[in-house]
Amino acid sequence: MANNTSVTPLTEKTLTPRSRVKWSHVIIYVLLIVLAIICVVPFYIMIIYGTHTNAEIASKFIFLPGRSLVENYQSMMENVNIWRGFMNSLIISCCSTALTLYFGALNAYGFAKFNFKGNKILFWFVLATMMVPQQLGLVGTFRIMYLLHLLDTYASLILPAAANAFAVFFVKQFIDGTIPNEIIESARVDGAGEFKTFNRIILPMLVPALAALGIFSFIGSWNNFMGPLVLLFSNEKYPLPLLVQLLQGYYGTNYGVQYLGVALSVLPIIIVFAIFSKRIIGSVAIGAVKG
Amino acid sequence: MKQFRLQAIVCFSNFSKGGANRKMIKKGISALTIVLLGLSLILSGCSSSTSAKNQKVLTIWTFTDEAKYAVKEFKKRYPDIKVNLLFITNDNYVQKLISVLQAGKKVPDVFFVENTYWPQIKQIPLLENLSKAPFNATQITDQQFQYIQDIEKDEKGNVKGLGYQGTPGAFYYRRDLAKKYLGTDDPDEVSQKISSWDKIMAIGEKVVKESGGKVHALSSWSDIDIVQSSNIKKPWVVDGKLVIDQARRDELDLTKKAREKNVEAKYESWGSAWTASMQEGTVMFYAEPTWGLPYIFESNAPKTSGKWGLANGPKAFSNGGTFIAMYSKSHHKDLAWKFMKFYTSDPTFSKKLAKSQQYFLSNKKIDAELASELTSDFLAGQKYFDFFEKAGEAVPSAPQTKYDNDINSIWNSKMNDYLNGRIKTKAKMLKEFRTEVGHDFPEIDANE
Repeated sequence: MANNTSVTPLTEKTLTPRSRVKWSHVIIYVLLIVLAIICVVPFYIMIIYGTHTNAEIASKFIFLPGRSLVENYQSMMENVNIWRGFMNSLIISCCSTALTLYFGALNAYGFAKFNFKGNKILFWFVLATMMVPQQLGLVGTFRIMYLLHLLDTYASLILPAAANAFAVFFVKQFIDGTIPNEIIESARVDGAGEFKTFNRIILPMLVPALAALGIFSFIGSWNNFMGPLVLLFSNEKYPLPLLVQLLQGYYGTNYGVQYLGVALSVLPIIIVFAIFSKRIIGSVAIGAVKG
Repeated sequence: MKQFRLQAIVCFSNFSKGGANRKMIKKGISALTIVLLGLSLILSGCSSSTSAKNQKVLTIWTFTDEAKYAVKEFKKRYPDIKVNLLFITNDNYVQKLISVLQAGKKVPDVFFVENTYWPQIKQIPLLENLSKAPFNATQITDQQFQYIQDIEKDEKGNVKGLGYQGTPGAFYYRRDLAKKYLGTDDPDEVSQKISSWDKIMAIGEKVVKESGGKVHALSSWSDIDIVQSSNIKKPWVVDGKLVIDQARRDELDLTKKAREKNVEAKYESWGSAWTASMQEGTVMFYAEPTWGLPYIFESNAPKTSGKWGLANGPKAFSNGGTFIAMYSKSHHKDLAWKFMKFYTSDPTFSKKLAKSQQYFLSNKKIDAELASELTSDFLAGQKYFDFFEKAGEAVPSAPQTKYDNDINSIWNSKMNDYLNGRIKTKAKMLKEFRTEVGHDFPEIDANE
């Protein structure tokens, strides 16, 4: 619902003409409105269906809110604790995003600015790991986590995030383009250690790249289904995607409950992005101009 | 923890640069030791929690939420046993179960397996043989319907899992439609009128004509499939050769006829149009097993309570069922057995389960005890335990193989192609079916 109401005023405002109506504008706006509707309707339907009983959903197409929201919510909470799932998802996604960003940047910095022997070869090797499909990698991850006694812990999902080849690649490109060697040299001249140079000077300069990377990594981790499915062994530790799946009964699905679960698990993300999108996009754009 | 790691990496980067000063190295080494200390602390913390094997903890994996009820009751009965229940939905469940069995790591003590996957899983040697002492499962299975006993056993005749659910089938019919088109809604009389496929076809043609194409006798071709596939004499694969049983060949003709004469409503079973038809009353008969009552009809068409009845179709059949198996290397076999015994044969629990959840049991002795008292308002007061108890006795034992699940899905897709007209003739359909089975399973001789 929030989506729907936020869109209509915008389109209405843009539709009111100041002096003369240009036909091309009308056509463009009509097209844009249609596009907006196409984008919003699935979310709207998802939310609306969360307020109906299964029988209502099965029998007809519905466009208005129903009265079974509380009932659906109760039967959902009987099956799964969605708020616990939220917490799990947040812990896993935030920690692994932080790890990806920091270690990705650190790695990229090393590859970009330190001329040690085998730099190129090592870098290509890191890139090559991107070629291994994630599903295959899971087998190895499972074994390692078993050896480390980390199966069924958040750590098994969070720690591998530190070794993200894509992050290294992405940030290295950015460093190559934007950070001159002079900055590092001047930091050294002023007596900063290597580590301090990175933390205090390089890292803040990377923020635009990290913001973009952070979104990818956060969404990837939030939506990760296979990883937790393989590595976790207790329902209390399940993140949202797995919990929503559990709402699917074995003998046919209660669609009302499932729609509600999906809506609840997606809405916060939409809200967060609606609030922060300007800042995120803005910071990415600033970086682009500077580069 | 993060801080320590960072310092360790600083140490490495210094090293790579070649000329690092002593102070830095010293600092780096001390940081490294701290990292190692921290790591060992984490690891020891974890191992202490996993090594608690002497505690009474039973790990159970399930794909169906109905296990939650049983576990709750089990905990009430045995408060000193801690149950660790993991619930994963169907397809992912089998994947995960097979992978932990292969790895031999983190395998649950007890796990639930659905009938679709059971033939494939029951032959894994890691499943405990329950026929032998101290379990002597035959004491429990002797009280069950014959067809369930046959499914529980592997090729050597050993019991590898226990079924708790009785799944004989019935033709669920709309009483209002039966009265209108057949002149009666009495279960016995309706059973009489649908005792052969020919009679059903005749009813179907009549109903379509009289209703102007609105009402159909059957909901989809799977109403025929569910009955026929339960009545096969030979499984898909015999001695490495693909066999198409006569019941399945008959099915081909029956479904084609039903499709052409509009006897079936062409719904996709479990689709939304299919479930909606129950509410709207556009289909007379649905061939479904016991669990269809709460999980299909009551949940999809709650407003039609009292409009339904149970009748016997042309042949007895069964569908679905869940089996509980035990891991042979489990450290808690005694607890595992306690749970399995509780779920499949405890009279107090079984009766409670049957009454409160409308759950028809595999244990025919207990079913028979409840037969005279359990009625369903949804079925207009029909004594459904009585009905299913008799139906269960008649269910034939359909032989199974580990290929069933895969070959069934190939069969179903070819059937759909044939009925939709994408494959024109029966001979061509069978040929394509054989080709695809041979392609997917090179070890099976799929030629005629």
